[in-house]
Amino acid sequence: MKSIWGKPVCEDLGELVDPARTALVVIDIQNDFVHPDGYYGQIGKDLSQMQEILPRVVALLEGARQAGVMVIWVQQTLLPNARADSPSWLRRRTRGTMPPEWTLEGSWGEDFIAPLRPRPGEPIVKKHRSSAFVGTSLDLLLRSNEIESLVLTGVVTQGCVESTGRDATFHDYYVVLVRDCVGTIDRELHAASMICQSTRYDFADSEAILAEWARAGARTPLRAGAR
Amino acid sequence: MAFDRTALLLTGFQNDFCHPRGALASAGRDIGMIERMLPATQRLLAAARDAGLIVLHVAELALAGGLSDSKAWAQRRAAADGAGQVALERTWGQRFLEGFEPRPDELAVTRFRPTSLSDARTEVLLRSSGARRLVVAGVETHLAVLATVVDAACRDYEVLVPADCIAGTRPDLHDATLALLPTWATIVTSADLAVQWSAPAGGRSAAGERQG
Repeated sequence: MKSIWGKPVCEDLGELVDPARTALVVIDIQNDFVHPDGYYGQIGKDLSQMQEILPRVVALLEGARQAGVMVIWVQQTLLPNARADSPSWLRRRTRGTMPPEWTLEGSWGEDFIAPLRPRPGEPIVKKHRSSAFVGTSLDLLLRSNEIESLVLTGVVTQGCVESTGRDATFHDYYVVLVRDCVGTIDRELHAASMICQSTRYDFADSEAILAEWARAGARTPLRAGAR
Repeated sequence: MAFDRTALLLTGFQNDFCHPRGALASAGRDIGMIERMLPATQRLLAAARDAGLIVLHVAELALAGGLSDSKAWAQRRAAADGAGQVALERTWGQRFLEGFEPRPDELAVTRFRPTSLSDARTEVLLRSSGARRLVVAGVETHLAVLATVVDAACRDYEVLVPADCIAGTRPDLHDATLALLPTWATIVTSADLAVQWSAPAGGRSAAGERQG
């Protein structure tokens, strides 16, 4: 920690991902976005980058659980008949004549892609917009569990990941974006978004975060199950 | 485009609050006033459905292990002499009371705090549906109903409260709240609303236009 204007401010990665104050946030890794049979796959989008990150997200999730880091699942959700869409949001979502029907509530496409599975005690936050802070209880859940820092993973980089990361900083959380655990359907957009996001918060590789969590686990008793 | 609709907001019609085997009654609270209020509220719900209004069902929810409680909130609940653990996730008590279950085409949300707008998802759904006017019914009067009415009024909804569709386990606090409510809402009866909602389009007041 360093002191700025008399306030304690996190300095190194170990402090930024301290298991006692950190949540791993898994954003939108759902069949409709990542699985070949899902919405993006069926309309021919390039899934390769999102597929590449999956094993690393699985490893990060496992490390978080072992270190007692709170895990939060963010899930894009559409309600039938556009019940969660405002007129302006419908315009935003519509490229042709109708907006895409993805992640419909209760559908296979809305579900998280195997083998990613929430466990009891890992809250699922459903959202109807890009940012996980808009129209959700995410902030309340984080506050209730004295979380100060978010480790962000998921898809898509320039959409829900970037929106959530920026909002997190405005809600006064530290943000660490896991460089090798975010992806999208367009590598050029990914690169552009990563440049913009890197001016806003910390980036780290999943292996470096896992090493910090392993170190913290060796130092203190496991907190897993305490929540 | 008119995007100016009325929503019936029902809060707390769950087994733990309204059923004789629920948490309140089990803790020795008198739920008589709540039970007596249920038939009028069911008729109001039927009238809202007939009139094609938006119906929003709000259910209290507590995550297991205190996951949805901050220290401050846990402390407040303990100090307020509550009925113990209520509306715990995946329990019968948390479920909607029979006769008050949401239909597939209606909105259903959960809340971790007494105000129905404490989950910001609720407001996104209300905005998306075009609701500008909320008719609030529920339990308990001095808790979820008051918190919801004040919060909704401060967020610029026009709020109406049918006095015969709210109830609680504390008649003294119910009466005190009834004295406070006109500060925030128009107090009506379910019969008033049913008449307005069933009137032909030309003769409707602001509280009862048919929703398309």
